[in-house]
Amino acid sequence: MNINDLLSRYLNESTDDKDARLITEWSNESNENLMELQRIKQLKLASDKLKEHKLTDKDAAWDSIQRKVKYNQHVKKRWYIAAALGLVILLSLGGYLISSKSQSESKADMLYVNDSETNVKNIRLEDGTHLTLSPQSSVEVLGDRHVFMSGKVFFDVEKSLFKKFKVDFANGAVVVLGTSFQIFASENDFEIAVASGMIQYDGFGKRIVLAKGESLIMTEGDLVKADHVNESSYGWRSGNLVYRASPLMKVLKDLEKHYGINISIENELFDKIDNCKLTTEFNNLSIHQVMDELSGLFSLKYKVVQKNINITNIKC
Amino acid sequence: MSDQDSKKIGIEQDRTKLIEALFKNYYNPLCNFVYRRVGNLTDAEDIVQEIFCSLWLNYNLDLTASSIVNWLFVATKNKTIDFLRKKKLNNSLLLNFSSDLLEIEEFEMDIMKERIIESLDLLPDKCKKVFRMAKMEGLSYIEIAHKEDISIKTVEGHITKAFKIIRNALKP
Repeated sequence: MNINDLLSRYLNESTDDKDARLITEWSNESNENLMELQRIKQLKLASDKLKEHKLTDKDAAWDSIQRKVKYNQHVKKRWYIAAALGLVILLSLGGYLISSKSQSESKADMLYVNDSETNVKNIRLEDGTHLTLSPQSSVEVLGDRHVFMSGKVFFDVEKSLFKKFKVDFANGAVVVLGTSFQIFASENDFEIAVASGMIQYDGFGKRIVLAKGESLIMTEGDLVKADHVNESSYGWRSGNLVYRASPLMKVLKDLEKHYGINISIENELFDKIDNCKLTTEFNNLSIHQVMDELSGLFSLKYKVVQKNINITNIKC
Repeated sequence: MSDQDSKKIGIEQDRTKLIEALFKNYYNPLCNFVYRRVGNLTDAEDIVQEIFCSLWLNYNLDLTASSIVNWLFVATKNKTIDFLRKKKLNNSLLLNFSSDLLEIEEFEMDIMKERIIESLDLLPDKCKKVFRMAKMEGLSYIEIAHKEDISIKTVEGHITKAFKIIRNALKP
């Protein structure tokens, strides 16, 4: 009998004692045969355990990896440009102000960073699209009507029937023809809100269409679509953060996104903060000025370490 | 575009191709290795995706393919231990780590399973269906024969044929 047929039957567990003896004899003929039998035994073992093997959505996973890498490269590039600009400013003190400044602008023309701690930054792209960047946000132009963003950005996209406008961020992409919307995106979370028209979100192997007034939020790996986006959600574009009897917890979340910082609260304060409501307006204030104002209103105590604020006491 | 620019783009394309090939072959086996230790697929995928991001951002072109696979495995294992420690899960989960040699054998088995699944596309439709029912859904030959309205001998014939094709596809 052909040895290949015999081995296939062995894999299929349809061999008898005589077949088993023939296989052993064949494997003893050479080292190569022995190795082949070893391989076949492994194949049999693996095929018997296939039921336990978990399958994943590899396309979605590959997509997610590419976006996270892009996000990291984008953040790294921001640091290099910030360092380069720092160097240029230092050199300009020696009398090279004009020439150095024009150099720095040409280097940074594809990456827009809002390094301000208080003010929003407005940008008009070549196609006429208007962007508003909150403090500590950035937008990198990847091509014609194609950008990558991180932080919080409002997009007023110039309409084009022939070319879609695409926004990539760490956890997905948004495609539109012409409309206005805002995206907050960090490495792990994002929030999209549509101010006019319709947009299409692609990510995690899903395609979701959002219309005016709808939003899509991702926190801790879950995607939630919601409606009733408040007009005041877009108020920050003029530099004013307006709150009317807003829950303090929601305000703190909003400040995190607006200023690109992390705010944490001691565990035992969670119950207390649930009752706190805030009515105020912050007009072009830095996060330090905002925290000072909150300290006055809520006897709030906090510690600041770089971009992290830890709230240690609060009274409403 | 300067020569240096095109060289840079060339290196970036090579890097993307190589990492995509590594991802295609090892992503699922690594996820399975981690899944058995952390107990859920979402956490397992997060851990393995982070390892691939880290490989992409820190990858050195001088490394050989086998040393990268070795790095992928060790980095994944260490990240999983970190994850379990951070979650402060009970120690019984940390005890799921056996000796290095046994773990490598286990990982090789996951790679083999993945290669079998990849090679299923080479099978004729009916043969593929019967093989999936037998090996992935765990149905007996009698159950398959009944469901597909074929004889047990025909089921056996499909499985033997499937193994023949898979064995050829997996030849080194």
